[in-house]
Amino acid sequence: MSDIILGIDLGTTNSLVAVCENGRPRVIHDKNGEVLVPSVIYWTDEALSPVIGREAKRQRLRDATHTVSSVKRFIGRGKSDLDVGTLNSADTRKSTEKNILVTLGNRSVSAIELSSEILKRLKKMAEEALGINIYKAVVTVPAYFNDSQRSATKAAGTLAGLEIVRIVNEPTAAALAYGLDRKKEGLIAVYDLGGGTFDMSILKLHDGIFEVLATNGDTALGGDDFDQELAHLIMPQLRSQGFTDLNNVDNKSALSEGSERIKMRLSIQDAANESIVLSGKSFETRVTRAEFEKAITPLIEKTVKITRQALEDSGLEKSEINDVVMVGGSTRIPLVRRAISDFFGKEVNTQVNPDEVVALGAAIQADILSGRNTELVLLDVVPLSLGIETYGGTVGKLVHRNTKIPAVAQETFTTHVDGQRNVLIHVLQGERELALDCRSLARFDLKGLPPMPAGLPKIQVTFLVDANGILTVKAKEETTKMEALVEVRPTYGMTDEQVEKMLEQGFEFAEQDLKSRQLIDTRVEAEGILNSAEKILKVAHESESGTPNEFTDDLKIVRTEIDTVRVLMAGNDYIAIKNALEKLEMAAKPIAAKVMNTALNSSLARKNVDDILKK
Amino acid sequence: MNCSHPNTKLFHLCTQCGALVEPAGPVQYFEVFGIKPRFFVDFDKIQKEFYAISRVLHPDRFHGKSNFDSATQWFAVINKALLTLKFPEGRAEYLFSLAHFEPPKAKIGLPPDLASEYFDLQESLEDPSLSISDKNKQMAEFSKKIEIKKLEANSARDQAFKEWEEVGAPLDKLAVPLFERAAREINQRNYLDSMANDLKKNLEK
Repeated sequence: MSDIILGIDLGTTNSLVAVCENGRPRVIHDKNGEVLVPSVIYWTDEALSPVIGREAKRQRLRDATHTVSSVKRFIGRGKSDLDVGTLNSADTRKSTEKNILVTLGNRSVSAIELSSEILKRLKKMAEEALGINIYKAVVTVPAYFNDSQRSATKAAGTLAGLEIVRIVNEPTAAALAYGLDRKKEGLIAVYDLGGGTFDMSILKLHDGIFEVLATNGDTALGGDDFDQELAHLIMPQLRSQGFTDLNNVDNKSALSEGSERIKMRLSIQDAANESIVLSGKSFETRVTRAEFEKAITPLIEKTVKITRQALEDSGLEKSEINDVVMVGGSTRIPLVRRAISDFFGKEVNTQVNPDEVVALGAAIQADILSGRNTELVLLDVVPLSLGIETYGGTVGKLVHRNTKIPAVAQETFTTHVDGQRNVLIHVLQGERELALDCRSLARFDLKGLPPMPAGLPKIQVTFLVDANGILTVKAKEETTKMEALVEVRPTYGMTDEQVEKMLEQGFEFAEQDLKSRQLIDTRVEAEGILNSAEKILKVAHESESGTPNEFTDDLKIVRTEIDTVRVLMAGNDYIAIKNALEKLEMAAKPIAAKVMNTALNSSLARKNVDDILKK
Repeated sequence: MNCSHPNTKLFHLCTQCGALVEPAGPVQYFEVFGIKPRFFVDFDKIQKEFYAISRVLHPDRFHGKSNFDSATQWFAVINKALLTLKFPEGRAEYLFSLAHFEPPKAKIGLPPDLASEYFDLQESLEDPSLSISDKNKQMAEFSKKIEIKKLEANSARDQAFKEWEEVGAPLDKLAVPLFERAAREINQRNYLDSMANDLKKNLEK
């Protein structure tokens, strides 16, 4: 069994996987050379397992009812936490108090299972790239994830056949990758604005020790919300061109995708003209950067407020921060950079790769856990206070936010009524004073107390927060000889037994799964090859003009093979598809070589084939 | 786990056999960092020692090993020790507990010389003829006085601890009279703190 531990960034929009080799982290590419796996799941009614990633993202526009994205905003949450924007087309009406269920066609799947499907895909991608089986991973989560969200993420790993040996906070992971390269010392602020979540962490880097001083955030604030604002902005334009049907899920998906495209353009251009296909008709939109910035200003201000709080909690002044590191895809937005650099009164650091740095950090942490890296230590904190509901519905805090983890805390409680035989212990997480404003993590009943006058029993409650930021609670009655001991792990929508049962079922279906899996994989592979083949044809056609038609016949053959593959892809015979693909690749090879020669002779001499194909 | 190799530290990884050597019972927080129980400490030194301990004893160093759970629990205690000794308030409270001294819970009110001023302020706040900015000004002035009193209480507390350390820092009943003095000042300061917070909230309104 291999002892490789993967580093996984399970993101709202994209996920990626990295590994450490000889102390250096690197991201893993898939067969097509892609690093980012879109966190999108496409699951048809017939398929035993879903399609994940780029292909699923393409399907979102064609078949939105069987597609779901931004699952991270659902994990470890219940019905009452549903605060995702209307743009997320996921049907979550079947959710329960403790668990969000997404309806995809005729099946309903929990957020934990959906996340586990993404993890399975990443696991497989790494296994293919490294040529070994992998059983362990370090997975990152937003620093501001609460206990339920962390536990649920761990369960998703178990379901995917991966032991999550450590949950690491995303900004902390980013700091690890940042600090490893630069051997930096000093105080840094990590501003991490991703697709769906925001974190701000203040760290002290000192001779290989990465010490988190304070962290704060919002687990429902990110790029998705900017897309939503853009959708609001272009809505009047669409309406004036006759668009009405927003309730259609395909349209919602198309609108969300179109908004995302506009947003990306506006990071490099002052205005974006984009056409969006809705209900089969093309609509024209135009948004200026100024309009976009005005719309998202309140959201950016929210991140500034959170940044101020984290700084205050760290006990530092703005001027003491040596470097402000920008992480997450949304930090490409110029206004974000401007606002944060204004706040700190200094240029922000945009040198790290905002998409990859978190996964790289996770891989470094994996290296630390494997015992290979003994230079670095990560000292992290608990993001949200933990406590117990006390008499009168207030919260008695046992562990305050930003306490170093692992953390232990003890407190003694007593009864309020004479002869009381049991005590209900209600575990809470959050900063608010009243229990009903905090998140309920667990309730347990300490039964069998001998009857005593009120105030006499001594019930000692112990909280232990481990290095993952996950809490275990123990309670013990001390006055009498009889001791009651209860150990409670907070709930997150699924019990350990449920997870185990699902794993067993997974094995039963494994063989069936394998076949449909291979069909799906072959289809995905085929899409990739078809794409490249079409590009080669295009480049070949372009370079043909002015030169003798030396490969017209070859082009015809490639065209025929492409068509054959397309026909077979509609069927279920993955072996036939594989054979056709081989023929296509054979046919395309000479053309690819010629295209390359032509290219090398031209002004593109210094570029490689990939660049030409990307044209 | 324990090994028989000699070492002076409370927690350590034995350099000879690699065992995680744990204390047998509850630990004394000052001892964790190899210092004597005192109110006045060199926190930089504590922090340095904490980092040195972290390098060896952080649970990440015990991943997949049999003593991982006990490493987690002990490191939680080390974190708690650091947090307790970080601020004077925590150190004072911890020293009290080491000496089995229970600080009196007697209710502390306003310092007498502030009392009449406080009642004047209350009257002004309820006076409808005064403008909001006048009221804010009065509150701000009173806040300043509270801040001065807080500093006074702190230095009186420090003085008590200084005298305690001068007589050899006993952790038994010999400490009681000095600890009582310190505790009174701490209570006074806490009272002023909550009053300052109330005023701050009022000012924000």
